[in-house]
Amino acid sequence: MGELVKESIVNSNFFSVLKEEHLFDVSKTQKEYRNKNWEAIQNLEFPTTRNEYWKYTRLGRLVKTAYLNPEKSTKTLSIPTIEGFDGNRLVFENGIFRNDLSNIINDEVKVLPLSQAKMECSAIVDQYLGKQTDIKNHIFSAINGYFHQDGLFVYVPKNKKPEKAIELINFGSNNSQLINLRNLIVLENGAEAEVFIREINQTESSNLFNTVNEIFVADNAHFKSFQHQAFQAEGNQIQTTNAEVGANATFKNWLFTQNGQLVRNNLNSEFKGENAATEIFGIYLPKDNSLVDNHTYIDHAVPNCYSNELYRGIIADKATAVFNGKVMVRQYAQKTNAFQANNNILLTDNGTVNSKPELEIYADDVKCSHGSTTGQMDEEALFYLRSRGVSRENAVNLMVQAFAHSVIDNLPNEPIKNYFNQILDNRFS
Amino acid sequence: MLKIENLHAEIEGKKILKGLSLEVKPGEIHAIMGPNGSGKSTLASVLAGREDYEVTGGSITFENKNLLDLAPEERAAEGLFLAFQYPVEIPGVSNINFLKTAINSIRAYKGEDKIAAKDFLKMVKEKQALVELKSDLAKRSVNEGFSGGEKKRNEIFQMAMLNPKLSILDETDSGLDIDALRVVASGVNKLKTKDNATVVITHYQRLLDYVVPDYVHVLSGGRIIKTGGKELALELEEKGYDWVKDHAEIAS
Repeated sequence: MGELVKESIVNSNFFSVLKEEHLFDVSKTQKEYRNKNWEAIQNLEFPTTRNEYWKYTRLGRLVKTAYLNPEKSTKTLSIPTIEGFDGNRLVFENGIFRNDLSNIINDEVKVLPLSQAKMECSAIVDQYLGKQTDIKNHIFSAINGYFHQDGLFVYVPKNKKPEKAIELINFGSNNSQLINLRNLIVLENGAEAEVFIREINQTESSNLFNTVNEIFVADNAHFKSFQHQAFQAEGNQIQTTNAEVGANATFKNWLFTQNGQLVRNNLNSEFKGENAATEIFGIYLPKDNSLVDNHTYIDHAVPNCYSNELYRGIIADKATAVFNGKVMVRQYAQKTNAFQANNNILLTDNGTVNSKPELEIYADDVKCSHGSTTGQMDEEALFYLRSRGVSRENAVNLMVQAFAHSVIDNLPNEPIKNYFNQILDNRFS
Repeated sequence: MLKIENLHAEIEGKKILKGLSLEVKPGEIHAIMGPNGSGKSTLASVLAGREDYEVTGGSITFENKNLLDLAPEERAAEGLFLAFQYPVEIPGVSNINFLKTAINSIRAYKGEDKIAAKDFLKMVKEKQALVELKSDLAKRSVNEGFSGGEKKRNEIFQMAMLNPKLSILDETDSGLDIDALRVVASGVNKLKTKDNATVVITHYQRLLDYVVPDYVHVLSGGRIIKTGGKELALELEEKGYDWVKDHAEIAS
């Protein structure tokens, strides 16, 4: 009997019309990195719900679609501006840089489209690109590695700070495209930066955004990112953020997911040095038949670090939310402080939440806590508000807003905070 | 103002109110007293519109409207107020924001414009002083982390802000020390006018030393079995509820 040979996924429908895009690779390292990703793809399969990491998120429909490569465009895009927000603006349409819509302020900090950085800052790109991303086990990271065209590149030299904030907009237009945005952010020792990442999918566009963010926060550096996933009922996203955080450094991330047919966020943060802190916050508001899945992983690989995680979701209609928060405290990571909370409100009887905190602790002198709650609106509180004259609808809105606002109360950028609050107010009023 | 006739109500199939009748006119203070389980809190809940309770018979008219047709928020807008026995904590919703929403909802119901921010703040300051509520409590989340006394003061503060026609105080004295009781009672008294009315539901007589009722009703077995003046409360305190019950049984 011969060996059973499984057909490689590269022959599947998903890849049937995709073309490789190697336009901007200049160095040998960059070219080799593409090839490594292609090799990885050939050895991988699309995950099914039998895979623990994808247990509640069925990819069947997505991986059976024959996606197209995005193409260059010059059309007018209507992108909502954010009041009071002033800074570098890099606009991408379907993952392709739109120079005509962008505004980059040049100072000592390098803010560039990755395509340009591959040429102008190739030494830095070669040093960092792919370094923090596991392509052996993660098919979508490998797909991004092989097919990505462009993305944001930020390089903040030692002890520097960009004069203005950095805003990235990735706008999805057209249909059935695989959009592989690749962002690379490097902060050297003592550097500081804030980046606002906005991914917006045009209404009724059935695109798949497959974004990979790589973030390197060196010792004593401080990085904050704010992410907005503005998806309508038809948009899909798989986003992977991989961060490494050096000694005495901080990494803070706020992620606001509005909706989307299927949104899966993988956020992985690893401590590389002591006395560092990672704080991650998430809000998700799935409605209709949407699914929003957040998988977080914080790796306390060294002692004396602090992590804090708060994810809150409001699930409407028949939507589903998934949360899986893993915190790893390794044997030598003594004096770790790790806190995690996930709270969900189901607005209807038809919504679903799968929430799973996972703490793996191998050190003995640590403070860790986690909590997960899922519930419907507190009827007693609703009655209390109504007994004072507030309609049931307004009472629900007051309570839901309060629930979500608490996640962004401490967001340190006022215009972005106001923008997020406004979205909440519009949605629940 | 309020007319309850032969009211029957139950919860989860258990009959609690069995033919209760009561009439309250403007300017009056009524006390409803009775032993545990007599139906006092059920009466308050039915009046405020709590949905767990089912009214199986009788009628309630409030300001010439059928109260039972109205949702809880409509009852509030018509001028009914319930001070809760156990005020609910609502994390994240600020007291002030909540009250502003409540006042504007009631104004909208009456076809009035929203309250001006300046007028609202002036009113908050004034009414807070009335119940000696610390100013930071008004800004904090509704009842969150409030002591028992602070919660009850907050109820009277809300009552002052909403200026209802009929206030029902459900065991407002429970859990209060004597100083808090005095402050709460004085708030209630200051809010009293010839046009509004108050129903005080209580187990003990002591609140009635401060909020002096025109009528005292004894509720037992889901009905009012005896009605008298303020002296009835003192008599009850002295002789206990069994005395009235026995008395009522003999009479019937």
